[in-house]
Amino acid sequence: MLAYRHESMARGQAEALFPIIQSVLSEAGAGYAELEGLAVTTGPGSFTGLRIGLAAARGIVLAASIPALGVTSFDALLQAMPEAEIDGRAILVALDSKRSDPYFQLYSATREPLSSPNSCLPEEVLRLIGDRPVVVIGDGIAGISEAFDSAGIDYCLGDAPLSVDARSIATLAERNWPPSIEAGVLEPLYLRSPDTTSSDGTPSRTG
Amino acid sequence: MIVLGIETSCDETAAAIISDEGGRPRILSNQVLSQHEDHRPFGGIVPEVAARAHLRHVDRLIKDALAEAGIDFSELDGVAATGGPGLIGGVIVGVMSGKAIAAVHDLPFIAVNHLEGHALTARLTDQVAFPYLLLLVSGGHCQILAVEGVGAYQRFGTTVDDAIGEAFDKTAKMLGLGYPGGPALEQAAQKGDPERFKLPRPMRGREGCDFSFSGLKTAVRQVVQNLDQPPTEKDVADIAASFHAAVADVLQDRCRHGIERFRRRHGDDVTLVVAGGVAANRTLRDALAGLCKAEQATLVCPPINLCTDNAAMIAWAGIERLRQGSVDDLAFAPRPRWPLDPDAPAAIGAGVKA
Repeated sequence: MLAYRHESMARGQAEALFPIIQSVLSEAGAGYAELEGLAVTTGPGSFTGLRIGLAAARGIVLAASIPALGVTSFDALLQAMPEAEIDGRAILVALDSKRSDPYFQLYSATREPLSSPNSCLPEEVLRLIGDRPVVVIGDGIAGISEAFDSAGIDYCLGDAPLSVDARSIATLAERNWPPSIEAGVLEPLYLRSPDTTSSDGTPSRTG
Repeated sequence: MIVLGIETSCDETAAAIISDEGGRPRILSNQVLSQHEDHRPFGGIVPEVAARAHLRHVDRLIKDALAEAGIDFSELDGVAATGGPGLIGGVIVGVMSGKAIAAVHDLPFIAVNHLEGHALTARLTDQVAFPYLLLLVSGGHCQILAVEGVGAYQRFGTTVDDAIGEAFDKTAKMLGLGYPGGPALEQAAQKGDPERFKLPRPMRGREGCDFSFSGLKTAVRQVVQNLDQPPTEKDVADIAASFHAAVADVLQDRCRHGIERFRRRHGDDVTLVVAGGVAANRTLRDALAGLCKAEQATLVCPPINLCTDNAAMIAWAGIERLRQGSVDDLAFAPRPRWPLDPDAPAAIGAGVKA
């Protein structure tokens, strides 16, 4: 790892991102010309935040003509989880969606996906888990712990970071390089349609 | 000098490249992708839908603009992107794309005020000299300004409620003409009787150059409600024509006041430039031509594809700013609100349209 910077901010990412990229490049003694690839979070997360990162990444990819890798927030959090914490359990990565249906993805104890990235109510997450013992990571736990407690399932909380970290993105990119064609297309993973109502009053499912 | 422009502030995703060698500007490419089909089911622009569409398309449009111009990033002298005002989710996408290209190729980055893009278009298309009078009429804006230089604007008036394009869209919606309403309403008005319905002319005769359109919109709603049955094709045509007549009268009156004020400030020679999507409306252009003839002013209407939102105007404003040495750094913060004339008093009720 040549350089790393992380700043938590609720807003202001559009201003901060390029100065941060510049500072890690400088610290690494490199410039954009030295980059051979780029990896970026595709989501889920704040729609605006995702677009800030993805628009910047797609711009750099186009301008520098380099390959790219998109990493989901789930894979990034999973990557940061220490092996010792898994202890034979399935892994549920749950992310706060600011609504009653968290974003989540379920993985096996060997970190293979058991579900696709998804968003649904805690009851449905429980159905998916079935009788597997799970360890839960991510900031979505607060929204589902009540349902999990009353269902009486065997779950515990992992000690992994709650939010996505750029080191995980870079590590995953290095491990999965060169990217597959599919992963190289930097598409946002919104997991939610825009909140819209069409002019005839029906809620939209576009997007 | 060759500059790339990026525009993502509303419902068009656009990229364009302009060269300017010895004061002879040329549009090397002008790519515009309209999102009308994305928004049509909702009867108006949905910001989140717009932001998603901008991200989906903007990098490809930039690539296409370079290909159409037959140049490479290395031949650029700067990158200009709309930095506001507008729907912030979209503005962010264009700004980040522009910053990325500027960063990778170590080029100056210029965050352009979308309104300044409209304001300076006539200098790209018709080499109009400063100062001139500008009527900026679009879906989101309705203002009269004196353009005195790059970055030097005096706002004479603005709308105190709806923008003119909004009035068109809402009226078209009431008449069941779909979205976007402007072109459909103009089409319907062709066969209509502009005298049949007596609609109000808000602000006509008042001091100054401010606009108001909400009363006109309400009057149209009452006309529709007072019909004995759902409007027939003839009713729609007559309402559309009467609406056009009212808006044309208002524009003539407000611009006449603008011309007078401009003359007091800058002398007798007046060039009135019309910009913004509403400038595509033939009836309104004719009304302004009539006014300018009577007032012995010169009317300049840029081609329609450069009046509606586009990136050529952003690239051009970028060139004008670059010539001044007025560039932005990569920490630029996108601005949802960004008045051209920050000293003008806020117009009550106008929101970002001021």
